[in-house]
Amino acid sequence: MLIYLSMIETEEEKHKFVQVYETYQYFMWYVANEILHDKYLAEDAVQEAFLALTRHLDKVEEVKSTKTKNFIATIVKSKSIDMIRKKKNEIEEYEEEIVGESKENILEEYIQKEEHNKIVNAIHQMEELYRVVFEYKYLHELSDKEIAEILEVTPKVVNVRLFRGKKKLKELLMKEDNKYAKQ
Amino acid sequence: MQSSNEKLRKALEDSLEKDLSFVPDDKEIKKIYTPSPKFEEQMRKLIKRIRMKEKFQIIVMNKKKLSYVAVAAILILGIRLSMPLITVEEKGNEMATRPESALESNDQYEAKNNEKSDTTTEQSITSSGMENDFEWSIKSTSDDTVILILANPSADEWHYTSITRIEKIDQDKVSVVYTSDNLQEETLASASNIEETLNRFDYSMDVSGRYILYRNINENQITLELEIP
Repeated sequence: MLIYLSMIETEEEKHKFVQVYETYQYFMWYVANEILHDKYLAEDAVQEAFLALTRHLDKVEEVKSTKTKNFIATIVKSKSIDMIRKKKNEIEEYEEEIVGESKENILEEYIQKEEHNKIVNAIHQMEELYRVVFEYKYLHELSDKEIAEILEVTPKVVNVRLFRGKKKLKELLMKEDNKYAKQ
Repeated sequence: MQSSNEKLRKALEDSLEKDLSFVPDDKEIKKIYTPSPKFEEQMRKLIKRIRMKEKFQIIVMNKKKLSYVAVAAILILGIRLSMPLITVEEKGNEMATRPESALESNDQYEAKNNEKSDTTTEQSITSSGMENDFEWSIKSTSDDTVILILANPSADEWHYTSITRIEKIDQDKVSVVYTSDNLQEETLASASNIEETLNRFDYSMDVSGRYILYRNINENQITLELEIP
């Protein structure tokens, strides 16, 4: 029986994780350190990010690509934010009524009519906590369940953050509109 | 017109890339940061774990494949075994209509057929008495060599000895053809497999037929049935 011959892993499978580590180790630390301002905490965040990445390695198609770099940046940012929140002992609030995904259009019409630059400016002003969930959902196209797994929260918390993020972004876009109107 | 999601995706992408454009290249970062030994050690452990997990997943995947192949082999074997019965039945019918003088040549015909079917070079017999998932199987047999496979899909290292004894099976009679007092112990790393090539004449498997091979794995005796064509 020749079946065990096929046991040889492809170099790509075998080394993807190591390749990611070697390519982005320093980049990840820098991104984490920018948020945490602590060398050792930044290392912890990088390690947490790598742990999360092990479960989502299938999302990495080409190691040295902008897509992968962006995905890795989002993971390390979210892990760094999480560390700050844990340090501050912040707990997710649930009392807010979630109408969430069913009310997608709270943002849709604004996005539709706004100029690209205004949306980029508004996103820049968003809290990182909501911005990373947006990045996971709309940029990296992860499901709520996958986002929940990476963030180590329940899908309900993801839904809460998405909903709040949309509300904030809408407010920011309205502000941008007013700013431009005054000018 | 772009959908709102696509517009949002593009804005998020540009926004993130704008932020990341301020990240210096690795050369510059290395000037201000050297990974701590603790971090490097933890990452080394993590990489080791990932590699082991990947290997294990591949082995599990191949075991699934192996079971499909085994089912297919059993079906093929079943069909091949039932073929002579059908042929015999057909022949029986033919013979009933043939003159008696033709019966003698029929024996010669069957002998020829038996010779033709005895050319197997690949086998899939797996060991028995194996510990957990340790696998000892035959990859192939040729005129003078037998290639065996030892596979350890577990997370622990296992210790196995060289072949301790070989028995030849002739119908109901079992005779010992090989024993070894000079046992060598080897280690099979976790989640790995090796091929072992034996010269069958070195192990006194001189004639064709069925043999049982014995060896110890983690102090338990395991056996493997082998057919020399």
